[in-house]
Amino acid sequence: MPTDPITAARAARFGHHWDELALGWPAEFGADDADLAAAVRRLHALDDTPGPDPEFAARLLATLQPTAPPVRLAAPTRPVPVRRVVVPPPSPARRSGSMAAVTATLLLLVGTLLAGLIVGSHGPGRSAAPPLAPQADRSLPPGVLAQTILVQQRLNDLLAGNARLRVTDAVLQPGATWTVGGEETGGPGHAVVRVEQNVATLTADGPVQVSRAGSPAPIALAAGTPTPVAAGDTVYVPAGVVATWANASGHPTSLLTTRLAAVPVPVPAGVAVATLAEGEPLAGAMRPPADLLLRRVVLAADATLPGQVTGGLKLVAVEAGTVAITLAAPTAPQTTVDVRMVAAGGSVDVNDGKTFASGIQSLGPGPATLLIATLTPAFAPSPISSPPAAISAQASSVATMLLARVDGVPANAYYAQLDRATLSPGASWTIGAGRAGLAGSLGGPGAWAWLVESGDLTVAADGPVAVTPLLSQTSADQTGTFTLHLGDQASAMVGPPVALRNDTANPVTLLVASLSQHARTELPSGVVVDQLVSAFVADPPTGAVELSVQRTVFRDGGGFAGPEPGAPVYLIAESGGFDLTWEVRGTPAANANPGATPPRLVAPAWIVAGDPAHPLATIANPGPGKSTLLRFAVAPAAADAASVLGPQPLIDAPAGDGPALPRIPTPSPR
Amino acid sequence: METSPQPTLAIRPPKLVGGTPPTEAMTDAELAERAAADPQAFALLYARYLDPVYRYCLRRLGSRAAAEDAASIVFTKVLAGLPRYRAESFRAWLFTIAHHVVVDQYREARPSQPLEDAFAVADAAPSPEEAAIAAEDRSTVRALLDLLTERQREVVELRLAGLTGAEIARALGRSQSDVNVTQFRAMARLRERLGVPPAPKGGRHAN
Repeated sequence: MPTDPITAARAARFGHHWDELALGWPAEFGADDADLAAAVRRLHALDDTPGPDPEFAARLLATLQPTAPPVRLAAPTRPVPVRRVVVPPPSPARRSGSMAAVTATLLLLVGTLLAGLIVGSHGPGRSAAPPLAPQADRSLPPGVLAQTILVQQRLNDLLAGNARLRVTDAVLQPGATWTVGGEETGGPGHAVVRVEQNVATLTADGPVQVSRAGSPAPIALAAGTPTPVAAGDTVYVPAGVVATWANASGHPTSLLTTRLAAVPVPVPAGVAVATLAEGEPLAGAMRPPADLLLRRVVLAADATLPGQVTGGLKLVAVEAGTVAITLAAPTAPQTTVDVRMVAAGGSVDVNDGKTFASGIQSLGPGPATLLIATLTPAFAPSPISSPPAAISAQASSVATMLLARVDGVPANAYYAQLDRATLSPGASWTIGAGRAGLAGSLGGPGAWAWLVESGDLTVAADGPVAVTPLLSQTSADQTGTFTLHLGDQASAMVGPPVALRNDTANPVTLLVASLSQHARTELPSGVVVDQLVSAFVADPPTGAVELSVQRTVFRDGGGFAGPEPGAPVYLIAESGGFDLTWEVRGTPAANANPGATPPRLVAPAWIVAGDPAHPLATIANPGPGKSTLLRFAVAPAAADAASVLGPQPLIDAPAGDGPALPRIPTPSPR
Repeated sequence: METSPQPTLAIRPPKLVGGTPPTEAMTDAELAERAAADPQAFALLYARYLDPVYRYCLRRLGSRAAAEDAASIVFTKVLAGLPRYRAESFRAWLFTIAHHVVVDQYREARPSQPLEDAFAVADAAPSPEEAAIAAEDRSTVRALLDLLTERQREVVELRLAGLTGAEIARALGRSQSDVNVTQFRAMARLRERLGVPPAPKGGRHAN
């Protein structure tokens, strides 16, 4: 069918945006295509095509790689009566033909594979077992022989009352079932369950997420669908959902469960539960969101795992060996308060609010194996974000968190993104890496700037990276491998990718701003990201570009006029909510819907302001209490601006009430 | 002091393929480069792509048994073809294979059963239980895809597998503009069935 040029152009634009959407980004379709965009999203959401049977997956891998042990999906027997589609039996000729072709090809391949294995297996450090999930991390702190992230989950609420974290190992005998989360079965709680051995059938009365072994992307499971989960799979069951685990196989099934709840789960017949570690009640001591991390660490004899004051909860269970845990007060990390010896089978809550573990030493003679569960605040407070106590009730405060100028930005950097990223110990994120086409990307080349909000970050870069240390007014270029500390800012025109690594034993939190050629669509294992903004910039700045992020604290009733129309400015409600008014037909401060409730921007939503055709008139905190707003801008850099500008100290902004509102402040180059 | 020259070592330690062990953080291309000789790298690719390939096969073929057969053949062919793999996009290459395997399977399944089989079947209609199971396995998306032309369906199914337009064009041997227009028309056709009203014409909305 012939296609007119307008349709072809629209189809090309639509295809481009579907590329972005399919790769996980909220692509901005044009208004003309809004209906088709909604249809695309709906179609993807409706796609309930089931994945492969884990037993089939394990069997096929074993067939393709006969020498590899079944490390991923160890299912000794058919676990559950999996639904089978009824089809006419294939003709013997067809089936045998297909299988004969497979067999013949396999015979050829096995020889090739074995030859490769024979050569390869002599190499240093090689293992016959493929490193399927859980994945060993690439870089390890000194003295750590191995580290595996077993569970990693963001919790958006921490439950009221006396919820506490427990790590248990439950063994279900054949035929046994274990229900978790019901009124009589432990009450509501967040549970992350990792199948350690064999398979189980999960049925939940609400939506749950399954991360299959070896696959970084979780899959949403609908309520009421019995689903087999196999060794290495991890399931997140949110609070309020009741999950029933059944072992329909002929062998015991082991479930490693990390659960935040007030009440322990009763143990029915056929189930044995061992509590590996248990923390103190949170009792409102932490604010959500928080990152739950469970890892297994093998510590060399006599080696010490250092600790830092990170806040949150930290449980240590010893699986093998004996360790000495040195406890110190957070206010005096160098002063030992207590030392506890913990042998295999023991556990300790090392972050009980009064003390933290300043070091965990393996006492030998062999390595010690530890399970370490941490629940840490996902948003580490920025060192420059707290408003001064003496600020007036109506005034607001403004702090520049990130301000960087990057030169040499190419014309095709279309994606403005702002992320808050948490790197688990050992994790590495190579920013600026893109792939052929749009298939998977860790960001792509462009302008990048990042601020260390907590922890120590290792940076490895072939090109220059401009570094502004905390409280410094100047920047200096660094190359190679170096370390950034809390409050340090760095920026670079990332052509060759730059590796951001966490070589420490504690999580690292970053605020990362970028204008890059590809949308970030993938993240490596161990990196969790809060995507604050992801936007396609139709007419991006090139050459010298300024990336800026400001945090503005609005007090009761405080407000500002919108930004000057021009370049897009992304306003993110970080906490609380804001009332918005928009200019309509040149009438400032008029509501788009007179008489109606003003549109409200509520955390964690964001909007684009600065559009000359549709400018934001005012943004105000309706109160009571304070609300915080992040302002993220990507704009052409002023000609006389300094090469790199770091974070600026907090300043007081004028009061936000009255008819003549000041504009939302813009960082001024020094 | 005079030293005698060191004898040349006759045996050298074998080289580690690819330098460092493959990890999940590696790109498809990096893993594919090693996978022919390194089972670890192949296992990572397998873990990454079994699910989308299987689901693609299931959408195309409609039964789990057929999808399992097809997925087995796809990965067997992938393993066989890896030494010769030079494509720009691994996913496009992988789904080119998957597409051809599915087409072959589809063709093979099409001819009617041997005549002698017909006499063995008392009633060709599925039993109520079979019909219930079959209906359960027939997803909403498959019912929607049935509304499309074969060309449109091929493109949308690869979209559901997560491929980009360029990758679909390579996998199907079509031009990207053809893929763009085909998917545009496919979604225009599905829009109402998906319960999405036409977008109002005009500018952007405030909230």
